[in-house]
Amino acid sequence: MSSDASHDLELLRAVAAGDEEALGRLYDRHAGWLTVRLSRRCSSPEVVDQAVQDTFLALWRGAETYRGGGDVGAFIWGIGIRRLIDALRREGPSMRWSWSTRRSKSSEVVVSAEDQVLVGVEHGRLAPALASLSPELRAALEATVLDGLTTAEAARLLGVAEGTVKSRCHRARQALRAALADAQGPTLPNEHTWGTT
Amino acid sequence: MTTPFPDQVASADGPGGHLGGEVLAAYATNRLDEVAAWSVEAHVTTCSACRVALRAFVDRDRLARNRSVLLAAAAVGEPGPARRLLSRVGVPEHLLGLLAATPSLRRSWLLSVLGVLAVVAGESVLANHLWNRGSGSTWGVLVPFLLVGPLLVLGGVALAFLPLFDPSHQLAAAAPFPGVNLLLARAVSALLAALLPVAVAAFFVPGPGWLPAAMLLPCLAVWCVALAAVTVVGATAAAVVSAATWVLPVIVVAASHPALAVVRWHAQVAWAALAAAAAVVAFVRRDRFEMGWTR
Repeated sequence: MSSDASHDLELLRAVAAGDEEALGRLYDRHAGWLTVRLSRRCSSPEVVDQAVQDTFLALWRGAETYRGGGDVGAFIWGIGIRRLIDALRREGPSMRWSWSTRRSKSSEVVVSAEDQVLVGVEHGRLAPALASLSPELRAALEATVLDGLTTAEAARLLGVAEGTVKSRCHRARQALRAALADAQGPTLPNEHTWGTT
Repeated sequence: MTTPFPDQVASADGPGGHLGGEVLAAYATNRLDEVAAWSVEAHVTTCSACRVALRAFVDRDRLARNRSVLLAAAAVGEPGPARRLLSRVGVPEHLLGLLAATPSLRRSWLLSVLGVLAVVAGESVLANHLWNRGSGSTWGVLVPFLLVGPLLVLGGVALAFLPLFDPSHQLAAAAPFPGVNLLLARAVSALLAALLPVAVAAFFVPGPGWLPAAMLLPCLAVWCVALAAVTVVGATAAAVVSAATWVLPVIVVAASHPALAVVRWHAQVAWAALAAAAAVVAFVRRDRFEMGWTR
C-alpha cells in the first residue's frame, strides 16, 4: 500500500505542476469513490458530478495544495465535501437528502460476521450506540466527525442553522457517553429519554 | 504498480484486510445501514485498494463523461466572463467545456482573425484613397478583402476539425458524445466566430453598403462545402477543396468582370445553391463525420 500512497503523491505533484496526463490518472484513481461517497450526501447526480469536477479542477489550478501528513484520500475528500457544499449552495436546498430518504432503506444489507470484523462495526458498544441515535443526531455527527467539517460547513451541508448543528452534536455526544457508560451494553435506554434537551 | 486500476474487487478474506465486494456494492448503492457505512468510509479514507475497487460500482459512462469535461476544462483554464454568461443563460456545462477547447474559439485565433481583417481592410481603404480618389467606380481594391473573408471562416472550421491543432482532440474522440453533434457544435461556433468579424469589417472597407450582407452567403457556402467535403475526403483535403471553391471564382471573376460580381445577386443565387447542395451532401453522409475527424 505504501507504493500506492507514494504513487498518489507523485500524481498530486505532477498535477500541481501542470501534467494533464497525471490529472487523468488521478481522476481515474479517485473519482469513483468520491462520486459514491458524495452521492450519499446529495440526491442530485448533476450536483455530485459538478462537485467531483470542481475537486479535480481545484487540484489542477493549485487552489488546493497537499502539504503532506495524512492520507491523500482524506485530503481529496476534504476538498470534495467542501466543493459539494459550494455546489449545493448554488443549486438550492432541494438537492439535499431529506431526513426520510436519508434513513437507511428497508432492503438493508446484513453485513456478514467476517465483514463486520473487517469493517470494525463489531467493536465494543459504539456501533449499537450510534445505531440508536436519531437520524438527525447521527447526520450531525457524521458531518462533523466523519466528514471533518466545521460547524458552519456542516450546517450548510445539512441545510440547518449552525446552532442546530451545535446542539445536535452536543446531544449526540451526551447520548453516546450515556450509552457507553451503561454497563448493560445491548439494553440501551430509549432514544426519547435522552434525546431531549 | 504496473496496473494501478485493478477492476476486480478485493475479496473480504484477501491479504491486508480489505472490504468484500458485497459490502462495497451495498455501500455504493446506499443499501448499507448508516453505522456500517460510516465504518466503510472510515476504512476507504485510508485504504487505496478499496478506494480503487469502489470505482467498479460507478457508471462507466458517467465517469468517462465527467473525465472529458474535466480535462477539457483543465486544458482551457479559468472560465472567462463570456463563458460564465453562457453558463448562466443555461448552455450545458459539458458543451461549454468542449466548445471552449475548440482552437478556433481561442483568444489567439480570434485576435489573428481580427488582425488579418484589419490589415486587409486597411489596405483596401488606403489603395482606394490613393488611386481612385474616392471615385468608387471600380472595386478592384476589394479583391484582397473578398478573398480573405470566407477563408477566415474556413480557417476556423479547419482548426476545429484538424486533430493536429487540437489538444483536446483525444479527449473529444473519447468523449461519449455523438460525434456529429460535437463536430456540428464546434463547426457552427467556428462559423459564427469568424462570420461576425468579417461582416463588421465589411462595413469599413470602401465598398457598397450591401457588402456586409453579401459576404454572408459565400461564407456559409464555403462552410457547407467544407462540411460536405470532410465526409468524402480527409480533413486536410477538404480544407483545400473548400478553399478552392472560393478562391478560384474570385480570381477568375476579378480577371474579366468587376471584382464585386462574385458577390452580386446572380452570384448570390449560385452561392445559395452551392450551400444547399453541400448541406444535403453533409446531411446524407453525416455518419461519416467521425472518419474525417480521426483522419
